[in-house]
Amino acid sequence: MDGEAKLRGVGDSLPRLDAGDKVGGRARYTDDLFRPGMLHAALMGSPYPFARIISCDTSEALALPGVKAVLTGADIPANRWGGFINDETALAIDIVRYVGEPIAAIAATDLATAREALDLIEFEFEELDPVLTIDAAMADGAPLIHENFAEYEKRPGQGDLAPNQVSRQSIIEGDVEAAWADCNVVVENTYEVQAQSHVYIEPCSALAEVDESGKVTVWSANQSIYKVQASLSKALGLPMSKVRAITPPVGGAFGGKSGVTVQPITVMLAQKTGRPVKLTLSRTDDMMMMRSRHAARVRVRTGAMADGTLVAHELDVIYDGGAYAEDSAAVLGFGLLMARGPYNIPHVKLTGSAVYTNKLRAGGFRGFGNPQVTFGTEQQIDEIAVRLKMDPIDLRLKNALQTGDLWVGGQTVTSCGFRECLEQVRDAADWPTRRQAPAANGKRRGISVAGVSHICGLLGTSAIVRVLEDGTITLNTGAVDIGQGSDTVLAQICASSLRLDIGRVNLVAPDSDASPYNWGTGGTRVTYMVGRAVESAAGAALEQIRQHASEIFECAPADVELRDGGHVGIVGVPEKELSFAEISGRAHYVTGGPIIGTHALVYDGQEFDPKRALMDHFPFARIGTYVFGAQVVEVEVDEVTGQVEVLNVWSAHDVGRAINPAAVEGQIQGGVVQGLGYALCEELTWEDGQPTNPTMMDYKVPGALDTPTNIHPIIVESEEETGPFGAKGVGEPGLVGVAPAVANAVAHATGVRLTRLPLTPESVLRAMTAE
Amino acid sequence: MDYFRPESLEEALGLLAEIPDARCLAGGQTLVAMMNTRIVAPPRLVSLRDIPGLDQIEALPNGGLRMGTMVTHETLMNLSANGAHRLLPETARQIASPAIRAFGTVGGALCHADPAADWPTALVALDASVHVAGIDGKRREPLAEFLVDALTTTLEPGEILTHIEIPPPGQTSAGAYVKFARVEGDFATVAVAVSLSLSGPTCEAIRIAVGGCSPVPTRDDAAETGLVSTELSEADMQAVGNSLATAIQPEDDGRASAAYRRMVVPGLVQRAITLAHDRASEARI
Repeated sequence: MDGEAKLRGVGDSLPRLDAGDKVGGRARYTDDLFRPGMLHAALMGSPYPFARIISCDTSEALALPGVKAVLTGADIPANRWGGFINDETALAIDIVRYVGEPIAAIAATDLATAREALDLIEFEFEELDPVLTIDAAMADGAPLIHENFAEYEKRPGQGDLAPNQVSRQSIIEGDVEAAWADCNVVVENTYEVQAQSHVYIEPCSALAEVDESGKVTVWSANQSIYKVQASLSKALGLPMSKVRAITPPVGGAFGGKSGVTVQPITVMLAQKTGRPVKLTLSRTDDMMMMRSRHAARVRVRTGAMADGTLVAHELDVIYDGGAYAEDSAAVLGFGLLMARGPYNIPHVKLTGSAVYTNKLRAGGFRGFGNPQVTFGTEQQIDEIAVRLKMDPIDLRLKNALQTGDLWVGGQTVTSCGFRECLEQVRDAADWPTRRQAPAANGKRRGISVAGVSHICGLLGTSAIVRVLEDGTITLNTGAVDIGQGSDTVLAQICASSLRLDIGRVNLVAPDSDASPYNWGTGGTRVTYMVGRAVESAAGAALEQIRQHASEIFECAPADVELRDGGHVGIVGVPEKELSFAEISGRAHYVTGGPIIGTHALVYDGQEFDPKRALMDHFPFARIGTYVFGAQVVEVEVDEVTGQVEVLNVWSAHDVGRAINPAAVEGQIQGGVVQGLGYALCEELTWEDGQPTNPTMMDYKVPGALDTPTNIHPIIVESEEETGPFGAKGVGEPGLVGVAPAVANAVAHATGVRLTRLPLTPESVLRAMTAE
Repeated sequence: MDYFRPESLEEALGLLAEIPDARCLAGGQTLVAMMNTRIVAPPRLVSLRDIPGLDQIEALPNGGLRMGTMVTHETLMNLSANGAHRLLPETARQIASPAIRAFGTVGGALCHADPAADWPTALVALDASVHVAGIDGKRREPLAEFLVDALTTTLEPGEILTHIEIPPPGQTSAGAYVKFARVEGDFATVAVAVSLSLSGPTCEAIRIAVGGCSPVPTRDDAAETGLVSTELSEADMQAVGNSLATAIQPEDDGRASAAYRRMVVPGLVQRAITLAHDRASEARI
């Protein structure tokens, strides 16, 4: 292939396939779509945190010209769905459980009319005593948020649950109680973390259409066409074959769109009116109606020997799940799996629960239970370093997991770049110098670190690689690119598996009528799990190409070699060569049939070891393939205001192998910025159950000017044997360690440890002045 | 709702007089957002955009400035000014974001009278006065009197704030606007505007306004008078900071607690005075 440009594929920092459309404003998101005869919908939210619906009068709203349908809980099927507990309906039926919970939906010929008609619906409520905190939910005699909880359909194996409890789980190894005696230092703290809003740029949106046969087609912002299909099937009482889910470009999701959002009610309006219906939430409706990160309280006790050897770690976490169970059981289970952190600690007792409260339901959000527990664990480690007067990186290195060590639960860690991450951030940050650097006048300066771990392997996925007549490729995976760049990365994996340039790979947009199964975009899994399916599907296509070539060349298939740019030849015979086009033409028209490579898998990593760990009610059958990171944050704290200014962040991540280094760096930077919001300013707040800041004016996310320009992403490659080209994942970890690293840096700067997020100027100043 | 773009002040005043609750539209950065969220629904909007001269800044013969109500934050951000008037671009720079600065106006901000907005604080420190036109004539009053309460001014229905006038800066003068907010571009949690002039090393005149902490910007006449003829020592600054921390009437809100505001006011006042003092001292040399 002399004279041809280098093939662009794995390892290249290629621009996103969708970058041009997005930057040029041509990308058409769900709300940009239009169908003939389409109606516009709006939702009405509950004004009360907990109340019984006594009556409802929709006649005035229905009488408004332009209004085509009004639905309330009384008009919809009472089919409940959920992650582990089927407790949700499209609109509240009989009881409202949080302020903002959708209670009525209107479809009208235009959006202004739909919104105007909302004011004409008359509800009568009987207010109930709301349960607004974790403690109130668990108190003796607390009101039951779901009075029919016992009757809900549930996934088996969740054990007996206390009133208002959604899940309780534990992971126990060794003997913590006996181990405290061996510890020279024991640190005990209670950490509290807040509810964070996803603030994806695109609010939740769906467009639904029903055909003559009753088949439903839904275009929507989501993280999984198959999750949308499954939940809609449940909500509507339709077979999955009657539900088609399509995903236009998605404007961010971060876990907030991993389940269904507004799809069920949009479909119900389309069914009711017989016309296509589009529903896009306003920002405030989205913040009040959809989901948040779980607020949590984490009690931790950690002990070490005088030389810094970690001995025992006991952690109990209670996640505030809000009004519906959603993925809370999975968030709790995953939180516990991450609660020891990437350290060898022989004695651990990790327990926790998730509870209902009368607030916005909590769901998956970048990190999925991990940031909450890591905020505790990584501050514990830091505090031990302070008490032992050890360098916090040295202490972590001393206890760091390595390849071949065991994760909590007993799986062998197959690739671990944690030590290298710690060493790289230490070097890049010029750590010894900066640890001593003096502060400017009126400021205090500090720098510290947090370790990070996560997984990238779980659940099922599949891929189809089709060789077109001209030898170019169509790749179909069902994976939804929510803005993180997976389309580009999967196309790179496909291209390099076939030694083609990425320009010859066409990617199919997710469509449940056309795309093979994929569980979803979440758990940092797409590059690793879907990438594996793509690599193997390409391999399957290649086997067929090899077979054709061996027949044409009249040689053994093993003597056929793949050459760059869509060619095969005979090993050692350069002049013997066939193009993919020649072979695909033969397959299409002469013999064999079109070349289609497929691969399907479900996560196949090692199972947990019941002889090593007691794991009660753990929600995942299999989960693993661990990723690692280390994050160093340098701060300056203002002595007058207590404001924390982040000067530098160094964030090193073991990604196995970077398929697209620029995209990996982007994911790290995005995670760090979202983590800084979580650490310093973002918090959903309620007063008597009423949200007090569900607007972009009141709920503050860091903007470009608040973000340090000095975020230094560092890629560490540990080469995971099972991963595609050695790759693992990086979607979530960039966020996970930021908050504890900031808190550790503030502790280094001020001598005060803050245990509650976010670290607002007020909380920092109060802590400093109380010191 | 109807919408007009009159080309003279008289026409605008007539249109406002015709319908109760008709509203002027300046930059629309607050009004239109409030309409979108259905907080207000004025029956008529009278845009001031086509009235000549309202977007101009004029240097007065005495060294003062007179600016039209439609002057945008962006225009003031790029203003080349002298001495204490440099408070204007320094303040404008810290307002919201480029898109809002391009449309938002100084007159609109004063009429809305949000206690956490930047212009009321900065312009009270500059001793600005406002010109108001109504169907029955015109009047001029000090900005500090125009601002009555949170979101409340002396403006009567049908009146238009047409111009803002700022007295000349002192001989050796400087200003400083120290804003503390949750994130860049947010409304102020606490803001301190200082305008001062020096005579040799001593303070000749000083005005200090604290914003974001009371229904209207807070000044303390006696404390300011106490600083005149001093060299603005740290103790002097601490004293005025402490008295302002007592004078403010803060409330708990989503940005911070009232107690926190009292905690930070002395330090921020000291910071603002120091900054202005340093600038004026440099100008003196």
